[in-house]
Amino acid sequence: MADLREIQHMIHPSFETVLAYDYEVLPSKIHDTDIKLLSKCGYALFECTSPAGQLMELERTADFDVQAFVVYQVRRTGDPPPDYISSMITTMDIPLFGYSKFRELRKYLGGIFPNIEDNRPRAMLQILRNSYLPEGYRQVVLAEIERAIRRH
Amino acid sequence: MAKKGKKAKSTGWYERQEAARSSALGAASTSKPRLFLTYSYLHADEAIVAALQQELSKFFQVAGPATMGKPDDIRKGQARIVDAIKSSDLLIAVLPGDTASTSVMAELAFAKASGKPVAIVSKKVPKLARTLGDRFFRSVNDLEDVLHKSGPSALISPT
Repeated sequence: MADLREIQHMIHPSFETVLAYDYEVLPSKIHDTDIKLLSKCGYALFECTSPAGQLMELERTADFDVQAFVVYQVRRTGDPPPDYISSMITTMDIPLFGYSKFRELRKYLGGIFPNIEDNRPRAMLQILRNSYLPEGYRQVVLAEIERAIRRH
Repeated sequence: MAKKGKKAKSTGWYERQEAARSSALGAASTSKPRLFLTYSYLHADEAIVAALQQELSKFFQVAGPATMGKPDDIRKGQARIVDAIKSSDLLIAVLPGDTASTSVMAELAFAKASGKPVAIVSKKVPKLARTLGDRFFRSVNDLEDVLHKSGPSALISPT
């Protein structure tokens, strides 16, 4: 929970953040309330270091046209997704980011929000810079995206 | 579209076909150009993609997520995608709109940088994709119409 609170405060203040834990509901209403909250958001950030039922919510993001991001902790910066991140998540075609320090995550999120609303190409570049891409492919892709942004 | 004074890169397929046609005095070539078809797993309607793939396979040898299956490992999956794009003559991306996935955008950028023609099917083309694509179609039907009228060269020939 401490991590989630820390991450919540990394999001640019122009966004209203919603943390499901902050809503006190009957145990029988947890699922429905959670899905309702998700459906009201434009973006969703999933901290997947500890599995806690995120897969079900991740699957629903496309139904609600919610753009999802997955972050998780790694031992060293730049490590590929560790084994505890299920391949159900890594192959879901959602931006993934592994962080070993909170300041890395803050920088990552700071490059996405609020750019994703004001300057989407710039946000896309930030996401790709931090996504796991094979070497060689990575340099070519980033150079072309930067060219595209200049042309834009 | 290539800028004035800047030569557009070619995959060579169009030139090979043109040369074959002229040297064979009109004999039809049996080889199909290679196409990389991509889409967002999360946002695409699998039924539409399957139907499109079937239609495209009349004109192209189709590769991409639809034929390669979902990879069980991100590293292996991406390496396979890189190889498939490199050996393609053309890339077609079906984009849902503003929420285009980052992996599809990376594939578009890689194809563009490799000199492959890029066609995008989207009702609302994301801003960045507008500068990465060469040809744009509002729907799968529009794309199929063009293919039926003009054949694959309509997508592969330089813009």
